[in-house]
Amino acid sequence: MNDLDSRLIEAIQDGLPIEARPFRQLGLELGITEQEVLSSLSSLRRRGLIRDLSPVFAPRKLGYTTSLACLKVPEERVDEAAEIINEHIEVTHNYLREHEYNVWFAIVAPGDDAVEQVIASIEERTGCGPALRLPYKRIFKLRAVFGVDRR
Amino acid sequence: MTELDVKDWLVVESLQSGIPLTDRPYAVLAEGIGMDEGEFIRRTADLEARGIIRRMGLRIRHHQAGVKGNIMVVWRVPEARIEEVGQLLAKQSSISHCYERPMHPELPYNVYSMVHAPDPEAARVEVIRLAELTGIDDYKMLTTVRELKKSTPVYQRPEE
Repeated sequence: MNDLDSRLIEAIQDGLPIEARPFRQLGLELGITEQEVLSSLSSLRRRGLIRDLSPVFAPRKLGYTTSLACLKVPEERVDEAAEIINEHIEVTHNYLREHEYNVWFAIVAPGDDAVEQVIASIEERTGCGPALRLPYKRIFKLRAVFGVDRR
Repeated sequence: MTELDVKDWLVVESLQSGIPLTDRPYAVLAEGIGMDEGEFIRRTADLEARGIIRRMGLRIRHHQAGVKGNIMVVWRVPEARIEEVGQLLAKQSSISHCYERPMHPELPYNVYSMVHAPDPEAARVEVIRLAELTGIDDYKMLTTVRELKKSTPVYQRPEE
């Protein structure tokens, strides 16, 4: 990643302008042309360094509930359980972690009941329950952007 | 919950397909749902002003982009110190997410944080610094062994 790529990513992480020519506006801020912005982004995407540009929504304001849950899965059954868990489109993230409760998944579903249905379905189908339910009580920080490593 | 009308939902559903890399990306999305560009932009800006869109963001691939030292750290914080410790952790640039979550007898931690560093060793050093900073010595690093799934949430207009 070159210096321009890093500056571009940092500029966009503050948010893409919502206007007819957002990439021209970004270019103005960085002192480059709209075409240069677009070709740098295309190249970053081609090289697999960025996924895509899309809005981050506030789930609750769309009537959705988010939660986190974890499950104790015997090592030899992790792949099988992961397959069952991942089949649920409401499960957005799933990680194997170093702990007795080793499978941790995040859920985004339309309401509290829908979240509970997903967890109950996973408990039943994996046979690895009960899952620990970890909905948040308070948010101290939520930031999906990180400084880009320039090395 | 904030009320979204049918057209707002069309815009929300359309934006989820991603902003195309072209000079007038909102015009392309608007055309796909038969709306004019001006209205699409107005509604999108309004969704952002109402806090429904947090940010028009760029999703980077952390591994390739150099953030390899991610660790989930869970802390057991005395009830009376949760707010203070949560706010202190939130101020640290190494931390991206920090929440209070319910304590379970099997998992007696109540503050959850995601710590980021350039590599796993640096992340462990950072966690030790955070423990000293907060004075919370009862914590656990839940190191990621493997990513099993990572996808984007799908939001759809509720059925009537």
